Amino acid sequence: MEKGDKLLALILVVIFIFAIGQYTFVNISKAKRTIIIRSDGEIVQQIPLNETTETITTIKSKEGTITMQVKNGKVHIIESTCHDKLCIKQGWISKTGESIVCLPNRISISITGEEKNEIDSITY
Amino acid sequence: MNKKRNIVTIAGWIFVVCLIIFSFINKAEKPPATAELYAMDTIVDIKIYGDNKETILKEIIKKIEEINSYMDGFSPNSDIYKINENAGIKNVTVHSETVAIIEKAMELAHNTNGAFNPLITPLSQIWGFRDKNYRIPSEKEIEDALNLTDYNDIIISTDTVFLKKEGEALDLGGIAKGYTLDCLKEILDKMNGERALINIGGNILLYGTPSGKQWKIGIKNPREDGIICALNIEGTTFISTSGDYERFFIKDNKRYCHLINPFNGHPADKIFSVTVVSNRGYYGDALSTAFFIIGKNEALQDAKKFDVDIVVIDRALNVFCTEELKESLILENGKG
Amino acid sequence: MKSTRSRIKLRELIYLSILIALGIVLNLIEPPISPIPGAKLGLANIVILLALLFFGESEAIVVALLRAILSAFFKGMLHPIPLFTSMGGSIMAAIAMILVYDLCRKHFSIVGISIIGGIVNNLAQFFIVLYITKNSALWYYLPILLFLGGISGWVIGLITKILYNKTKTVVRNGS
Repeated sequence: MEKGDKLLALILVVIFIFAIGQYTFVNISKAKRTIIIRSDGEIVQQIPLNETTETITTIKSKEGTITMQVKNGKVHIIESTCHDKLCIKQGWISKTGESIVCLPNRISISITGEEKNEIDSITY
Repeated sequence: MNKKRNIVTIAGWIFVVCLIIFSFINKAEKPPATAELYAMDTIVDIKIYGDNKETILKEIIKKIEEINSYMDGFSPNSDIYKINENAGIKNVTVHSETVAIIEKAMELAHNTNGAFNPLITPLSQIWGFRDKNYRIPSEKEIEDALNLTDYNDIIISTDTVFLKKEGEALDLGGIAKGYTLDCLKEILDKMNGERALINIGGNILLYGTPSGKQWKIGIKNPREDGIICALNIEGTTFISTSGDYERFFIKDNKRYCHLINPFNGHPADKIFSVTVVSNRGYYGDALSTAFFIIGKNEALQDAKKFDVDIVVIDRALNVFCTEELKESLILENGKG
Repeated sequence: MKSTRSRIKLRELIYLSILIALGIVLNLIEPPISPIPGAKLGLANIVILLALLFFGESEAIVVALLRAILSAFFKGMLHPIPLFTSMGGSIMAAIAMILVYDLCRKHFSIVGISIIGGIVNNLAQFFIVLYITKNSALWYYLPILLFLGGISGWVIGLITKILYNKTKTVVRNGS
């Protein structure tokens, strides 16, 4: 083991601690989750996520279409026009910060904790 | 010694690369130039972003105050006051801006078959909305007032306006704010504005693209505090809302709002509110009034004809919108 | 009769080809990491490291590039994006490992260099996917990605070290 190796080991340990910390911290605030759906890089839909939300939605992008299901406070993709169906294999996500990405279709589904309620203005 | 220097160089380069990456990721937001003033009988909220924001802000405030001076029907110096004073008597020379607004008002009156009516004033008067003496007028009063609402009686030339009958009076409240926003957009275009948000009494001009890539605009809940839904909007857009919760009175458990149906002379009550999203300010403003009058189904149909998108909130607080907006609409209580 | 020089060149060519082929196979069979599609463990780094250790920097880069390009051909251009991420990650990792080897190999063992390769691999893949999808929620996955990159780099490093020790006599001396 050389000097550099020791440094690397140390860095890895630090990253690991950071990852654990982030995981616990992020999931303490389970309160208000929102599903944010992005297509071709733009946010196209936002759905608040709680235990009772139940819906099936289709999301389209320039490259293809996916069908998403929300049930029991969890989200997963049930259908996709992409070739490898990796996005479907990713299964359910439910925790803040988790994401499912369908790269061929350029669609991503993420769960955020903060309300993202940055209203720019109100029309009345 | 050589090795140490190599490590330091590499570390240095990594640091530099990280800095460059971070600087691209974090374009720190510079605060906007803002102003809040009272004009056109309401609160005006202005936020200007970009390089020459202060100069642009000054120009915008100047323009708002200018149009306000022409439009204020209660101020004896305004063009509108003078036109109304001389209804049935003689024509009045006014600023070209005033003529422009009136022309546009007549355009919309024709296009909406009178649902938007710039001569609605006598009706507003008998219901008490002009002097805040709210009352329920008699059928005779309503009939008489209706006779003074023929917008074909507005005669205009390049710099004069004449109202044919005595008792007729212009009320451009339903279009002036939108028109002003059009002028402000022109100023922003001319001065190469980067980004701005201007809210004149609920009529909004979104200019440019916000840092988050989309503007998020809330629609006020017609009956409760807070918003009932929000729209994600990209790029420069005009948004206007007409609702029954701004100026109204309640008598015998019934609500009478200031938006009066020009066809039957009674305050309209088909829906709670309608929001129009368009690329022209005066258009959206006038249409929001017209759509409020004609009701949900007709409005949703006509929206396409007028090339605008709308959100309608019916009397059960259900939210409806045109096809294009379905993707951008977020409901507060989660119904997708 | 071939001159010694061309014989050595031929042998080098054969070894490099074997390495590249091995790299392609490894890349094809390795499992992807979710939810960064295209992100893979980086088993191909084994052959890049071996090329580096046996032959040198330029050979290593050639192996890395050819491996990536030929992998692309094998997988088909049907969906280019996962290809792009795995190629990008692999090449960035190769560059990083070569740089480290060049400038401060005294400080790192084979395993250490491989750990760096693994981390850079995942880091590059992360940024590529981030750039394509512009999904800021992905930042959540960065720490665990880096950590896993380090771990897989460690495992890959051990495998490489073993392979290196077992085969260096054969490759160096030829027979």
